Amino acid sequence: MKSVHFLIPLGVFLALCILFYTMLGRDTQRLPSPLINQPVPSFTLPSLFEQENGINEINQTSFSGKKWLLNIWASWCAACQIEHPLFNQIGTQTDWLLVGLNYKDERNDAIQWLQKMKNPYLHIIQDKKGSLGLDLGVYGVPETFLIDESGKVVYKHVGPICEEIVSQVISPFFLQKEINVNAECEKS
Amino acid sequence: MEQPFYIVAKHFLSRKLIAILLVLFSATPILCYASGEILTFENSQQREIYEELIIELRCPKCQNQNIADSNADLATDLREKVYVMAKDNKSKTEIKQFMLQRFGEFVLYEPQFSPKTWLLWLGPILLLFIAVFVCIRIIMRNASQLSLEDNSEESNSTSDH
Repeated sequence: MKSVHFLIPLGVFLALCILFYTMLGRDTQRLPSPLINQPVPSFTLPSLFEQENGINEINQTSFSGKKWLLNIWASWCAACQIEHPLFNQIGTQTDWLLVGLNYKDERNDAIQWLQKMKNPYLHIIQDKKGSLGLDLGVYGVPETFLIDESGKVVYKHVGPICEEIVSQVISPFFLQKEINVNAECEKS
Repeated sequence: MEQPFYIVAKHFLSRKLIAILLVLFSATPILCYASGEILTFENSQQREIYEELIIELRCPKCQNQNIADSNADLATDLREKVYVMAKDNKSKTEIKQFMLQRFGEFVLYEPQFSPKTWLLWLGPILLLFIAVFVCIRIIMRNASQLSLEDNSEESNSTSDH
């Protein structure tokens, strides 16, 4: 019995090695959002294109009864340019409700950026002061939220979206299939 | 008649001047933390809440910096929010709760006691108990061995006679 005692520290050491090894390479920038399964915070903000779409103000109930995607972007955000072609691509699905949130931006800059990059959003919320951004816990633009028919947040992605997120999360979400909440972008 | 230098110096270093200098110098650490933002408060309690919270809250963007330390945009926004809420006479727990609801447990450098964190909080006490238990066992074993040796020595000595 006594001869086995010296194996205990060794076992603990090996267990720690395995623990640390499995934790290696995890993206520490990704934080779990406390908003998952919570209702979208209440807000009332102007629409970026007040004249064109006929609505001046958007609030949390504007899209109730529909599934919608909320993408937080800004003209000053470099990573937003990386993900934008993907939104242009999925924006061709006419029944997918894409909503943009223009975060802490100047209206003219935002409109110029959209003219250059194309506009896949059906509606754009103008959050000049970042108040809704704060309530959504936005800490790194771009961020993408998925909100279900009852107005609950079901998914959040921080950073530019990628093919994997589109195929494993966004399309299943709109096609009423199960989403893979642990989907990750392949690092290139 | 010209006044000697020390009288001039004494005149300038009046109590008032010393008081002003003291106030100025005591303000420097606060200004360092607020990274150039000059803030006014209605009472010292508000100031205390603000200064404690910006050190206790962790910046979600620039990880491993508190929002007082970081000069990221987000940290500036959060500092401003804490300032506005403190001036609104919100309590420390209310402001913490506000941040928790938005950014999650990560914003607190001192995690709350919850089913997820009980091991973190009670772990050291648990380890202490284990250590004390092991110590007592070792001491008891040594003590009993010693008394055994004593006994055997005694019995040896008696058998010699």
